[in-house]
Amino acid sequence: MACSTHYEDLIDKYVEGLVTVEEKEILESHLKICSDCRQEVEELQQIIRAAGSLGQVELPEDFTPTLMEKIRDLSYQQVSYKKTPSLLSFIRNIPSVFFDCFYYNKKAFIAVVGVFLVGIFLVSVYNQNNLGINFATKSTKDEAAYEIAPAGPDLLMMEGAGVSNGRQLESESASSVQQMSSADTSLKASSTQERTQKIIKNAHISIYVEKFDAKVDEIIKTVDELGGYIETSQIQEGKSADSPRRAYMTLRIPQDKLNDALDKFKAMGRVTDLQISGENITDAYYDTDARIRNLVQQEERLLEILNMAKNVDEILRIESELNRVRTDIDLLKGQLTSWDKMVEMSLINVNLIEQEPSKEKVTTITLRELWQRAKQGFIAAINLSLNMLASLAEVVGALLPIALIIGIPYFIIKRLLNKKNKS
Amino acid sequence: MKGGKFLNAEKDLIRRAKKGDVSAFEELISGYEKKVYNTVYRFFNNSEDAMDITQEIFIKVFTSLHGFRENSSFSTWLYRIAVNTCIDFMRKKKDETLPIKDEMMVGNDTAHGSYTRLPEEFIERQELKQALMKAINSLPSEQRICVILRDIQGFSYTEISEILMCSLGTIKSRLNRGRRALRQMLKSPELF
Repeated sequence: MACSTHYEDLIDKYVEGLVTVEEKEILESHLKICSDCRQEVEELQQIIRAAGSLGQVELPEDFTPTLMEKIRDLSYQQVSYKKTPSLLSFIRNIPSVFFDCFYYNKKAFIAVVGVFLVGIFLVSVYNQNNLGINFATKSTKDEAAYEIAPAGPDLLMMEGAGVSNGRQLESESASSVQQMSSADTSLKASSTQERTQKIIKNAHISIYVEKFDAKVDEIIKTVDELGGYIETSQIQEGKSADSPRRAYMTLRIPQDKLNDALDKFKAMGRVTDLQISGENITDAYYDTDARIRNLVQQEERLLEILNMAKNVDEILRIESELNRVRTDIDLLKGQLTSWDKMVEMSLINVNLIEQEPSKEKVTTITLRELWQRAKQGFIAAINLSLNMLASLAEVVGALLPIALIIGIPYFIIKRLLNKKNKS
Repeated sequence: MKGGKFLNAEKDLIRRAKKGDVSAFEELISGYEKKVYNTVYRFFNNSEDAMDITQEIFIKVFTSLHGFRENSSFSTWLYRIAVNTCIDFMRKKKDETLPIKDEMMVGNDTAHGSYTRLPEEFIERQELKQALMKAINSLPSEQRICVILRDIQGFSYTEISEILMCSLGTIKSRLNRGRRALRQMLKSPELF
C-alpha cells in the first residue's frame, strides 16, 4: 500500500487515460513489479467501466405530463398577478420589444429600421434643400435678380445650406443684388421701347489662396482663354516676413463670360469678399444717341445755310457754329464708344492674398473663437436633432396608414389562430 | 450540445420561457429531463425520490429562469440547481433516516485486511451493478456527485467544476477519493 499512495496521482490519471507518455512509462514499469498497484489500477478501471455501463434509466411515463401540469399552474398564477398594465411597465418594455423584434426576425427588423432610416434621411435632405431655397428667395425678394446675376443667388444658396463663413459677404452681395434688381426693374419699364439694354457690370473679388504664384498664372491664363485682357496687375511683397503677398489685378472680361471667370476664381481659394454690381446706362446712352442725331441734323442744316451764305462774315460765323456742333458730336460719339466698351468688357478687380498652406501654419485659437465654435456646434446639433425628430415624425406619419392596413389584419389573424390553438 | 444553431435555438427557447411561455419551457427542458432524472436517480438510488426531486428541480428552474443571466451555459446552470437541490434534499432526508445510513456507514468502516481480487466478469453481473449503485449511494455527497457526473453521466472535468463551482483540483481529488472508497466498499463482503 505504501507505494500505491506514492503512485496514487499517477494511477488516478492513468485510469482515465490522462497521463503523458513519460508518466505512462514510469507507471507501467512500476506496475510490472508491484502487484498491489496493478490490482488497484485494474479494479479502478473496472469500477469506471462498471459505472459507465450502468446506463440510463428511462423516465417514468407520467414524468413530463405531471411536471408540465405543475408548471402551468405556476405560470398561470404568475401571469395573473403580473397582468397589471401600467404606463411605466409599458415604457420599460419598449427596449425589450425592440430587442425581441430584432431577435426573432432579424431580416424584417433590419428592413423596417432601414426603411425608417432611409426615410428620415430623404426627408431631412429634402427639407434642407427646401430651407435653402426658401432662404434664398426670401433674401433676394425679387426673382428677377436670378436672371441678371446668377452668382448672387448661388452665394445665398450656399449660405442657406449652412456654409457659415462670411455673413458679411452675404449682406454685401445682397445689397449688390438689390441694387441690380432695382436697376433691372427700371430697365424692364423701358424695355417696351425697342432698344438693347446697356448695363455695365463690374465685379470685385478677394481670395485667399495657397499656391500664390501658380494662382496668378492661372488667372492670366483664364483671362486669355475668355478673350479678355489685363488692365493692370500689381504684385506686392509682404512688408514683413510673416505678412502675406498680395496681387491686385484689374481685368477686362467679355460681359457674357463674367460669371465663368468668377466661378473659376471662386474655386481657387477661400473667398472673403465678392461684389458684383450692374450699372444701367441705357437711358443716358440713348439720350446721348438722340443728342448726336440732333447735332448731325443741325450740322446738315448749317451746311445748307453755309451754301446760302453771301459774305465772308456770314461764312465765318456759320463755320464757327458748325465747328462747335462737330466737336460736340465727336465728344458724344467718344462717350458712346467708351460706354460700348465698358458694357462689352466687364471689369473685375481681383485681390489675391497669399495664404500659407494650412498644414504648415500654426493655428491659434482665441477663447472667444472657441466659445463661438462651441456655440455654433451646439446650435447645429440641436437643429440637426430637431430636424431628425421632425423627419421621424414625418416618416411615422407616412408609414402609419400602411402599417395600419397591414397590421390590423395581421393581429386579427394572429388572435384567431391563438384562440384556435388554445381551444 | 455544441453548435451555433442549437445554441441559438436554445437561447430563443430560454427567451420565450422567461416570458412565461410554458410550451417553450417544455421544449427547452425536453433534452435535459432524462439526464437530470438519471443523475438524481443515481444520487438517491430510488426512483420515487428521483421523480419527486427531479420535478422539484425543474419547477425551481422555471421559477428562477428570469434570474438566469446567460453568462454560463443553460445546461451548467440547470445542473447546478439539480445538484444543490439533491444535496439539500439529502440533508433533510439524512436527518430522517439517520439510523439506516449509519448502519451502512458502520458496515463500510469495518475494513478487512484481505484484498480479494474483483471477479473478471464483474461488469457483466447484474448484482454487482446493484452493489456498485449501493456503494455509490453510500459515498459522502460531494464524492457521490462527482462520481455520478463524471463516471456515469460522462461530464468533463471542466463542466463539473462549473456546475459545482469548485476548482478542477478539488473535483479531481473528490473523484479519486470517491473511486477508492468505492473499491474498498465493493471488496467488503457485507455488501454482497
